[in-house]
Amino acid sequence: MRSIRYWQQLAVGEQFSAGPTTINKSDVIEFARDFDPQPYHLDAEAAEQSIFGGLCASGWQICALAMRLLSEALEAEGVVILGSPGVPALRWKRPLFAGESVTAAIELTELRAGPSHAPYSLAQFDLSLTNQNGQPVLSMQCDLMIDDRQTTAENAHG
Amino acid sequence: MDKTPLLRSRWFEDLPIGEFHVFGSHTFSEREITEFGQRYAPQPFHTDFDSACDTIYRGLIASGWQICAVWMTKMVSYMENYAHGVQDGRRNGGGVGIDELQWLIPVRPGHTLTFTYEIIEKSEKVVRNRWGIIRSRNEAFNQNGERVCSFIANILAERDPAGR
Repeated sequence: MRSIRYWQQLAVGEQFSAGPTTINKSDVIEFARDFDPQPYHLDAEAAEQSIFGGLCASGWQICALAMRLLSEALEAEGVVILGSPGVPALRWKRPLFAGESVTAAIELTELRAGPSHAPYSLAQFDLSLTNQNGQPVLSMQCDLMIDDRQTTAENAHG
Repeated sequence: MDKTPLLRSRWFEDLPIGEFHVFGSHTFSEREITEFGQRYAPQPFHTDFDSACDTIYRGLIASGWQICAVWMTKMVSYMENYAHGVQDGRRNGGGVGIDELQWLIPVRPGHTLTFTYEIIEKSEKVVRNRWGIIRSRNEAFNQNGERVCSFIANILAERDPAGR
């Protein structure tokens, strides 16, 4: 079993990556039907006539996908995520069309204390999502709550 | 009741700072929360009741992106009902981005959120010779009146081609 990396063991400047993952036409339409029923997310023909020029994912679906990739990248390193208090900024750079793939490049930019008595501290990440041609799709600053309950016994055993 | 067309069926120039709307309310069911969690945000506190009980939240909570996605649903249906801005699509620009998105209080099964929207700023920047940027403060309040989510949305709105 991979050992846990607590908040105390993270460092500003660390880099992580995740993906690629492909978003299919059915993924785009399913999310849009449930949450963002606009023609350019629902119907390929209507989407071609729209300002986007093709069937593309809801911006919120891209956000959820980005945070999922961020979580996967950190969990692969043994980091335990206890939630997110928020996203200071995000920008949609270009549409993510059905059938395209994205990769996430992630950098840890800031470490700070959480609320007193909370079982976590905070880390801020810069995430950039690019498509299969290396073009930017989304940039996001994201705060995560990271487990900091490192015990004395674990310290002693390194 | 005033039937003035709302939001995106007007030109950028006609959207006043201070305009306020209540998009509507939504009650989050346990099934909605776990379905969203399993598909889009597979953390133990979003996916399954039993695993959620073992987390710091001591039960299921909705993914923050689900709160945002439901905000989107409410905004789209509000526009369809009152503005026809979605169907004609003409002045309906895409989102540029979001600032200061905060998830403040967990949303649990059975909680009801009410979503509000207020135009707070109009950017002077002209995008691709066609669009202006409307900045709105969006908030969600739970059944106890507590603010659970807040963000600023930057959304394109078409400028009047007459060049006001």
